[in-house]
Amino acid sequence: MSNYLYLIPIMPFIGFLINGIWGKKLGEKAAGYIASAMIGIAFVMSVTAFFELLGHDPHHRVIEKEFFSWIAVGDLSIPFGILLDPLSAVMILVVTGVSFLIHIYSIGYIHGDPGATRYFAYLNLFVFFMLLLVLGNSYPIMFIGWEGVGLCSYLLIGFWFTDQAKATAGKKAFVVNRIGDFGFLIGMFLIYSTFGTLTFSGAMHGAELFVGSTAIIFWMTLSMFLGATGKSAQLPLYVWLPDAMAGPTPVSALIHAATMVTAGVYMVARNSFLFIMSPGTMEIIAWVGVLTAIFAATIALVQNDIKKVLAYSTVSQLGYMFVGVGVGAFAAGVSHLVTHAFFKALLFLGSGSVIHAVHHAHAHAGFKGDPQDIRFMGGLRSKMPTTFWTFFVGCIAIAGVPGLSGFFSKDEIIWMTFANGHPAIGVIALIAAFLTAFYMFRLLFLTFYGSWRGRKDQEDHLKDSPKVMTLPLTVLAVLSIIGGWIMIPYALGGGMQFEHFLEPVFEFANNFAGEKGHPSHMAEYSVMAISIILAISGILLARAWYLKNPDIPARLANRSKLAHKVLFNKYYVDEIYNFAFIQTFLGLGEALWKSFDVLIVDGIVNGVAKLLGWISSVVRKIQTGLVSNYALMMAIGIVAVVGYMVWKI
Amino acid sequence: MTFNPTDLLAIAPEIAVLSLAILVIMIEVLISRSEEVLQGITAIGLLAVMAVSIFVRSTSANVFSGMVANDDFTMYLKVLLTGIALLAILMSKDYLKGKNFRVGEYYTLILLATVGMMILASSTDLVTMFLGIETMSIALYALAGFRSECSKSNEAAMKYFLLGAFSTGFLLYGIALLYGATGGKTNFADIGIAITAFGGDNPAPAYLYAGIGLIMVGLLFKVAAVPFHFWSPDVYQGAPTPVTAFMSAGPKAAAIIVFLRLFGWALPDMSIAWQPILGVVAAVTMVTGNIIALSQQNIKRMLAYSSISHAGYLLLAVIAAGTAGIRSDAAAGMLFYLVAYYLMNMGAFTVAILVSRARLDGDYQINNYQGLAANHPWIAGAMALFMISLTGIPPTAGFFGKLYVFSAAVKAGFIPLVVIGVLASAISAFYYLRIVVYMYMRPETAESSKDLKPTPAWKTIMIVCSILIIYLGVMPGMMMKLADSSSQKISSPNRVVTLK
Repeated sequence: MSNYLYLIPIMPFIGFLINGIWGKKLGEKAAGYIASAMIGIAFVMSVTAFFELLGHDPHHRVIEKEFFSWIAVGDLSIPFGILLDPLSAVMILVVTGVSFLIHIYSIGYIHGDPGATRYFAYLNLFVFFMLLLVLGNSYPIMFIGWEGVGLCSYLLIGFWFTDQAKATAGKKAFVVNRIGDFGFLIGMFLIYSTFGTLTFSGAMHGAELFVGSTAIIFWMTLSMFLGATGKSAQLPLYVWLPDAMAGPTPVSALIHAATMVTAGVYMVARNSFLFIMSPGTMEIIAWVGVLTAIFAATIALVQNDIKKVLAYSTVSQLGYMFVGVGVGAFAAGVSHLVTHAFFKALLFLGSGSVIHAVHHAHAHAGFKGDPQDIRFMGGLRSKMPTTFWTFFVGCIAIAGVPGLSGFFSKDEIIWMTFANGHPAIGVIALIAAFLTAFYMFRLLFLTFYGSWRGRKDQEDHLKDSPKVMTLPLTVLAVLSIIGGWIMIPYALGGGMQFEHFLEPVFEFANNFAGEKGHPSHMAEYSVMAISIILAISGILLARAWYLKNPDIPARLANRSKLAHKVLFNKYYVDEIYNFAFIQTFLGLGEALWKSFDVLIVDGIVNGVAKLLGWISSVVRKIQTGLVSNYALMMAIGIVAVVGYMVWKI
Repeated sequence: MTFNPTDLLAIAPEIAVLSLAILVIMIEVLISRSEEVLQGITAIGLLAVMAVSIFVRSTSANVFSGMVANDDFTMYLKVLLTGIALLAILMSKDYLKGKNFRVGEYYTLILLATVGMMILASSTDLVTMFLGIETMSIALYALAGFRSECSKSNEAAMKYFLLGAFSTGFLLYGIALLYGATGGKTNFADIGIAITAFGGDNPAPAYLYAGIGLIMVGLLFKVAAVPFHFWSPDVYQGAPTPVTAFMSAGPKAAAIIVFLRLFGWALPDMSIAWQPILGVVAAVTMVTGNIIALSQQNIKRMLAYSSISHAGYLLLAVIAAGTAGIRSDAAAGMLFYLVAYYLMNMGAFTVAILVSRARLDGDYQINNYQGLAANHPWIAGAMALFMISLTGIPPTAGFFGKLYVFSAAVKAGFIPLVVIGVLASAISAFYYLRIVVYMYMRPETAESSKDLKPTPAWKTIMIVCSILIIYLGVMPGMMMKLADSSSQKISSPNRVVTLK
């Protein structure tokens, strides 16, 4: 039955091949349709797989299929297999579903770009690797996906590689991710040396039987979490994500908001059985998550680039997901991953629509300005009605207005921090929620309300984006509204169907953690009430400052110049990293290069090469070209061989 | 000795190739001298032979009283050897054009050499082994001198023949001594049993050792191991290039396989005597082959020395096969290695032909590769892949070939040899990757910007080889499983009926 499973990642790969090889001949339009169709087919198959899984009884919702033996050397045997369980089923649905919408949107967005076919080829390749990442049944396959999505991400960040800044951003993402990947690899080696296997099921079995010091588990999980901080842009490795916004906006939506950056969260959830055994790592994850959440939220408060605000918001929301998995609420973390994929993809695509429109307006007016700067926008509500109302839905979803998806998933995480005994983390998470509501509505008001702050001739050319772009926005807006309705907590009379669906995956972790007791509904209501009040006041504050009295923020910024400057410059982290690491390493590198490299390594390498070359030129002279000499050499060889054999007796 | 007619099924592929050879020569004489017709018939015929190898099988384990092996392992080898002949013929198609060759004879000789290779690779008896070696060699002598107007080619044939005759003498002498020492046995398994009888009060006679040594020398000549390799650079350079490609892959594969069968299945009890000397030969071969290749300026000669060093890697598998319990691992590793080597070497020679043809003087200097990537990204990419695979860098077939052979040697305890092997491959990176550097990092020249005009046949070879190299490099599992399971069941038939 489930033989079609391997076709799910194969479909986008076929799309990649078609567009990669014949893209130029097919042309931009056909390339876009083929790419979207491939993802569409993969989505349909994912839905089929999901229902097939639902048909099983909840405790047997695991389909593991090994297609062939991939590598077998000695005792190491790595089969190439696919693992479909509720967790990967959710992931493939999100990945294929959101990608499908973003592919369609891209047809409109990338229209007219000379590199459009290349763009679609990369995008398909990305989806292929992402599906491999979430469907693989072993660490090496996950790692291939992990590296593959990274590769595509750099290719797409540097898509307009004629632009130096964008190429640099790609390089930054590359370097930072290498640090994280190093952690993943170390974790993988530790898993192999401890459990002697590299499949998830094998490692799970090993964890069940594990006796002995949990120190090894701590290092194992901590290394893997380092990998996760790289890919999922957490402190201290988040610096690449805001720069990654240099890529085309749909790429930001797909890779840097909805799918790839959540790979770290998926990895922690996939290995919940290991992480739960190391309370130390869990504590670290929860703290890193919450600190990232508030840190990035404060930066987002003062940014003027529409995509930068969303980028920091993504970093901050990813922090929430890690808080969820860090406090042992794996299902809550994954829930937020799903709803975030909807509303953040929506917001990014909405911003893309805005940039698209402003860019065209600028172009028509012959004006060369930054089409992403919100200080020169405003009043777009009437010009771009569909973009506006979908963006509005995204804002209230992320802000945590009751009834929308973001509310249920984020609240569940915050509630679980209190329920599982991490009140300090919970309080910080609540403050970050307030900041989230504030900066999102600041963005909304500055972009869509008030009046146009650009030139009049530009304003006349502003118009809403074509259907092919607004349709995906509408679908995502609907999902952002209803996406959370399967996560409604019991306290509000819901069924938490989503959590129940995921439950078998986290059974081991939940049993290991033990029963925490049931805090009363009353406590849950009060946390919920606080978070709603904070969200509403954040929105109202943004309204007061940016809609009613637009001069307040400027006055405030003037009064506390230092604070504003620090925030605006993102705490100078880039500069600090540049000084502390890059300059230091460059200096160190140069010193080493001059002393060690040039003198010793180059000396040895060149020396060896020279020596070999010299030996080579001498030895080749034996090849005289004369048969008699050859025969003599052979005779000497024969005497040596036979002589040795006889002497050996 | 009884003859069972169904035994013929086991050698159906050999019979088919032989019939094809006769058919081709007859057609040339009687019907058509057209190159297209002859080539088409040969190529289609070889495809049919592949099918015959796979589907026409005898169930008997003891065919021709145990003179040839009949098992899956042998079947795969026959498919491989047919494949080598097929690519050589595809490669020749446009090479022969305008060269005024008698194409029918040329194809017939390749087919006859293939018959010899197949007999050799399936032989489990000294007599069939000798028969195979001579059938193969005589056809190859003629092929090496096929460019009769070219003095280099004539020289190559003469050298090959003289030194070949020289080594055959020793091989025969060794066979005679072994026959005498084992009380009249020629079958590999019988020899193995006879040797177990020695020991204690009944020590093995000195001429048994001498016989083994002489046979070893004869076979080392055929695989071109140092110091019995001197013929190969001169012959490789002088022979028509498709023949060079064919010789570097086919005869080497057939000879190394019989080497493995004889030493791993008949002489494992003598391994204390032969493993050390073979180890020294392997080490010297790997190191010398790679070092001399460094200073070659002609790509055919470079590939000749590279093929010498690959013979050294393959000898590691023969050595490992002498250790109890490792021989099927060694055989599996060797099978994988041979497939990988065949693909990357055939691919590299195809590019070499293409590049040299674009030049007026048609020479094979490495300088011709300067800046090739600028105008021929696909050809340069394929060549880079072949070079990377020959170096043994993942994810290519060459990497896993080396990995499997080396890991068999490690299992058998020959760690110093493996260390030498790895260092030798590091040396090889210098000259393989030099081609890549030339193609990608040197400015293009007037010569390298010429259109290379790859014909469909050449394109096919490059594409098929590239795809399979990557496939085996990314997913070696399937092929490895096949090699593993077939090598577990290598039959060692012995004579049930005694000669009376």
